[in-house]
Amino acid sequence: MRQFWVRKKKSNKARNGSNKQSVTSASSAGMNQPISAHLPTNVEWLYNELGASSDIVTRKIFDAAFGMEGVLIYIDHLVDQQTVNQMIVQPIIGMAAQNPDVRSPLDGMELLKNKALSVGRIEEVRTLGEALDQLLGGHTLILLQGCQAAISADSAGGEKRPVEEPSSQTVTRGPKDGFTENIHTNLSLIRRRIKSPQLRINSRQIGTQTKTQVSVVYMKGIAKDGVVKEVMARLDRIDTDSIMDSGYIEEYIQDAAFTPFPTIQSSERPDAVSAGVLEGQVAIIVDGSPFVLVAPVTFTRFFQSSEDYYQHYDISTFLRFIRFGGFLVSILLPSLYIAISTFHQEMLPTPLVISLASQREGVPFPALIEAFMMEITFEVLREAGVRMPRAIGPAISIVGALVLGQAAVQAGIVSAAMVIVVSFTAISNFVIPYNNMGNASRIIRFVMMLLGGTLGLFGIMAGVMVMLIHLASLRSFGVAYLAPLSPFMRSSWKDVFLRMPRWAMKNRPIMMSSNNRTRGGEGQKPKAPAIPGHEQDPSPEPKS
Amino acid sequence: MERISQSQLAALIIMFQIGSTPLFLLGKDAGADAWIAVLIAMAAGLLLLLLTLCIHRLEPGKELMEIMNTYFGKYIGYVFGIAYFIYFSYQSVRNLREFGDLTNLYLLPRTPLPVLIGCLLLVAGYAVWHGIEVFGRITQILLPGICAMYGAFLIAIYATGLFDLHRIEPFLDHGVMKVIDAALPEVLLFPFGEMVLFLMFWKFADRKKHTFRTTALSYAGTGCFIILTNLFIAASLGPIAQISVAPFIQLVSQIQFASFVERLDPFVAALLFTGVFIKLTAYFFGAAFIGRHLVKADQRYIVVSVGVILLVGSLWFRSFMQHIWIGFEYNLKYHFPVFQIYLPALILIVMLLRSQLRANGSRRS
Amino acid sequence: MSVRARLLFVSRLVSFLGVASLLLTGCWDSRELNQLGFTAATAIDYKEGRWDFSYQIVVPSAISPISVSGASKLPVTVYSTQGKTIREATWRTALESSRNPYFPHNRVIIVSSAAARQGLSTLIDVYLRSTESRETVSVLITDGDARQVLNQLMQLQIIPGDGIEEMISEEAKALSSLPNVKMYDLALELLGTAKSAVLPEIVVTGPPGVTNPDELSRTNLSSQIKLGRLAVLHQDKLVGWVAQQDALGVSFIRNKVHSAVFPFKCEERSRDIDSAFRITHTKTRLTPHKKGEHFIIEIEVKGKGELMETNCPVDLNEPNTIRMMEEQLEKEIVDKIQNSWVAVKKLKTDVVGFADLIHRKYPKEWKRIGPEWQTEFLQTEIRPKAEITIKRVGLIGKSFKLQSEKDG
Repeated sequence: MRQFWVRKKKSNKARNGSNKQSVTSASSAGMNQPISAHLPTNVEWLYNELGASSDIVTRKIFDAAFGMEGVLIYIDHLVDQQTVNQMIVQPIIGMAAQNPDVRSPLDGMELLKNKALSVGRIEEVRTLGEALDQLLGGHTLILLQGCQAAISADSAGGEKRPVEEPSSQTVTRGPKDGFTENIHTNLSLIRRRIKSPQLRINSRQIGTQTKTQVSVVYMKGIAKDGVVKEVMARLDRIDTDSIMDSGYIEEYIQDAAFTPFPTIQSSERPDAVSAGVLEGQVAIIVDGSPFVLVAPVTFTRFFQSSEDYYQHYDISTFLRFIRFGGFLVSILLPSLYIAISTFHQEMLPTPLVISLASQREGVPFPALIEAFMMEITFEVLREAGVRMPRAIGPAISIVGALVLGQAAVQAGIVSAAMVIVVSFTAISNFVIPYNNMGNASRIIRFVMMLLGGTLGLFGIMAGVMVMLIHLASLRSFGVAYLAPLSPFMRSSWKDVFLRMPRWAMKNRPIMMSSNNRTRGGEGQKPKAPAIPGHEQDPSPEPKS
Repeated sequence: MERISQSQLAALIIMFQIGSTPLFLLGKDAGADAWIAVLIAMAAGLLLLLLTLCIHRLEPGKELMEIMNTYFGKYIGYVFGIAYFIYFSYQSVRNLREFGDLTNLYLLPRTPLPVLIGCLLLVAGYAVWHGIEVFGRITQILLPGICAMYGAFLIAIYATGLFDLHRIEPFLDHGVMKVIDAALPEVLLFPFGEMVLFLMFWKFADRKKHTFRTTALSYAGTGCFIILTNLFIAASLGPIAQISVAPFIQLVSQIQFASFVERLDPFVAALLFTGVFIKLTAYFFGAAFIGRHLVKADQRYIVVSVGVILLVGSLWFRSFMQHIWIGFEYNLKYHFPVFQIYLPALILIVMLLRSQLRANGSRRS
Repeated sequence: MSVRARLLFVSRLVSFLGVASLLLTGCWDSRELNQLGFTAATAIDYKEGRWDFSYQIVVPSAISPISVSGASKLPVTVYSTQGKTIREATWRTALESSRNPYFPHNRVIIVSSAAARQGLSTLIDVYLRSTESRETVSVLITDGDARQVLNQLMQLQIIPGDGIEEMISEEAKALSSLPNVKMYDLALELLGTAKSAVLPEIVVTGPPGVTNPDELSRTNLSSQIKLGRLAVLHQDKLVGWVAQQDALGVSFIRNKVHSAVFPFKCEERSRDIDSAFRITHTKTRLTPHKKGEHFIIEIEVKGKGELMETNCPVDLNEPNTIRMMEEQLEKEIVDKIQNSWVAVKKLKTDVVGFADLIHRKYPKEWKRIGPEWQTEFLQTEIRPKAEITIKRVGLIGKSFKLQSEKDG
């Protein structure tokens, strides 16, 4: 049966493949057709391919008197007007005015390329398909009569957002710039941080319709070659029409399809991404998305904020414990409350149990339903908070706090303790620096609540065990998700729960980086030099 | 092939040995000298462990079933394979049932037993499904937590002032023979003699030259820990330990200090849960591995069908008392020694003989 | 969709539905907080061949921080049920109460002397067997109707059961005459070598009892709960009482003194008892010796503490005075131990744990005398010794009396 099934699938695939090929060949008849010497043919073809869209700008340059004819084509909304005007059109007109000696179109083309156009990146394209791609990429095409090639000058531009502070991952200390939607800006933000010849950027286009640029950024010699190859292979396997955000890519290339846990990190912070790249991670930057994907990633990475490294190590360590605690609270607190208050009342101290019981007097719902009601209400409030127009925000939060907090308790619909539990859980969820890990905990919380409400602590233990098994079975690009906790790697523990001082972390974590692991030299622990004029200890220091 | 590291092997052995044993007073019949009985049994168990380790040493790349096939031939090997399949499954069933009943007793008195056992079995099956590597990782993660919890409990018991060494005096009140009687074979077979299962797991360990040391050290360490808990139970509960079903839980429910640290027994239930879970899953693995040799089928079908066998098997006992009684009256006397002592010894003898023969043959030729 | 994929889908659907229905129909054990009757104290009585079981159930709405209109003012309510066995009596509660009694938060259990004479082994069995009840519950005994104690309201504690527990545990810490006996201690001692145990007594003074919250609005209550004597049990049955003044001696022998305050004469020749001493650290060491057929127990009490009060004209800065006072204290303690020993001997019950001591040190002899320990016990002698150190004397050195006499 299995064999049969496999064969059938294969044939399907084959058929699909052929279908696709036929479709592409039908729609783009003459894609590989070389640019003809007859100018109007080329222009007409391009026009037709683009469906005579209204934003195509064509402009005649030169005339027969000059000795050659040419057309300049660009798509209005893709180019930077200033570049086109000042760097392309102006020089061409200037050239025409100088009236140089042009003997053949080829000669003219050389002249244009070498003397006239003051654009950095200029290419020569030979087929119509290529020309079309360039045009869609925001380049300006210059077609010349009698020339079997065209000049493509990079004039890509258009509206872009300036570099701003990241909205989802904020810090109090540390760089305040964030990625934008523009891939060039994003690449420059990383390049500017790592001025190393080992930094490699490898780009490709994904999406048959959107032709989105996706760049893979890594450190040669630090990132594992296998991981880099795997990332590229997985990117190349993507076959889709559009990429709108890095989220699309993430879903195509992550290791496990059915898991609430993120196996790829996404970050809005160039400093975090650069630090990751320097530790051997591979960054995937997608044009049009301010969220950069970073892989491979381990579970504990989601609890490290880039601010940890800018603050003193003691407070960073403390905050990490708070975050892990917050994660546990976020997953388990409501379920534990339900389990203990409906199954294991003996665990609570007597005064507390009596006070809880007195709060519950007259509450009509079982604790499980009560908790579900409150949790769902909170999720609704949260979603509303994200979606609603900014101006209404404060109003809604007042209503939410008043209605849910006070009025519901006074009306006897929910108990005060439940409100405390739910709100503390909600707040704890925001302690996790990465939003997608927070989202994972939101989903798991509901499952745990069900388990806790039906089987008590036993159910919660079973749930936690399943979660652990699941976590242990996950991988991210070949790296065990729970590393370095398990498989146990003692050398990498300096930056998991604790954040050791910078000078103590001499090596890069073993999970991500290849054999090149040394970050810096030995013995960098700061030593205060003796105050001049106060040398009390004349004995010479053995080490200098 | 899947690999487990030496540290994971150590974690596996420790967790497997601990299982649920610290919850009970081993060698009950020796009265206050139970801990001496455990010590004796542990020493005797070390011999058994050496026996099994020798088998592994001779064939480091093979697991029990493959060894039996090589040395006994296909058919006898198959029969022994079935026997060990039943043994591993039965051990798994016993753990399941014990767990289910204790949960019924301490946590969820009115929840039907099949539901509890089914839930635990689902979790165990999920682990087996993912393979030995994932299992090794979980034990490694759980081990520190378990150790910390036991440590905390022992400290809390001491802090409450329950621990009184006078309760285990006078030593050897009823003579040495009584202690040895209590130790052998009961305590030897449970838990120390159960290491025969690791013939299925050693094969997966990497850096095999350390296996011997890792195993022996983990075994000895765990043995000492079990003696310690036994000592604590005997010295804190005194005569009550003799009549209690799960003395450690009884003991922990006495903990009371700093005016709010009390009523900790659900946490013991958590310990019980993890301990039994690891042990049961290890046996589940053993049964599933052998099952794969017996029936050449997809791993997944094996896991599901062994799971169903375990579920049905664990509901077979009439009651918890019958379960305990069968365990002590029949299994420990007649059945377990066969699998834990006699068969491994037979295997080792055959292995040695055959290698001897081969050596002779090669010398002659 | 291939056959295999469809099978996979169906099996997933079935397992999902299975788990979902399990979760939705589950909750066999879940009980909401407002379905439970939290029992704060229980009382057990034996009347006309039946166990009479009473318990004090907390009324949460009465102690709620949020005032619920129409709620009763009474913090607790007391139910009583009867049955041939204890458990049967407990379950009969369903006949008269809307909430099932929930025992894990039970703090005290009060046994009537009638029940104690009948034997407590069934009660202990119930406690050890049931997972819901806690062995950390304090056991007290009352000479009379046990239910009467539960009916009594207290002024400082809203829940009387809690109040009784606090009372006995505070007393055990501060005065140490009566020990706070937990169910677990009781079981251990009754199973121990001597097979005897002690229980503190609790009494309700003077009728009528305070059972109405309105009566609480007086500064001087007509009746109050008080701790009394020490009950002695042998083989799970009550055999007699030790008076409160002798109970401290028993505590000294049993090494159960945490801290105690007692009066003494500051000098041999002074007529009245005129000083008080608070012992803060103390340890008793018992060493059995063989003397012929019988045994002698050496009792060594070592203690430290501070002087609380004195009306002697003495200068406490002088080492001699302190030494003299310490000697007086030592004598006082030895006397206490001797008196209590007489009282214990009268009851012919080894509540001081000598059996265990001899069993441990002389296991061979114990095999001989063990069976007739009851009689052998009476032949045992004690040699009490005490060593007391006065560590501090408070804020004034010379006594006030000395100073005033000098001036005068």
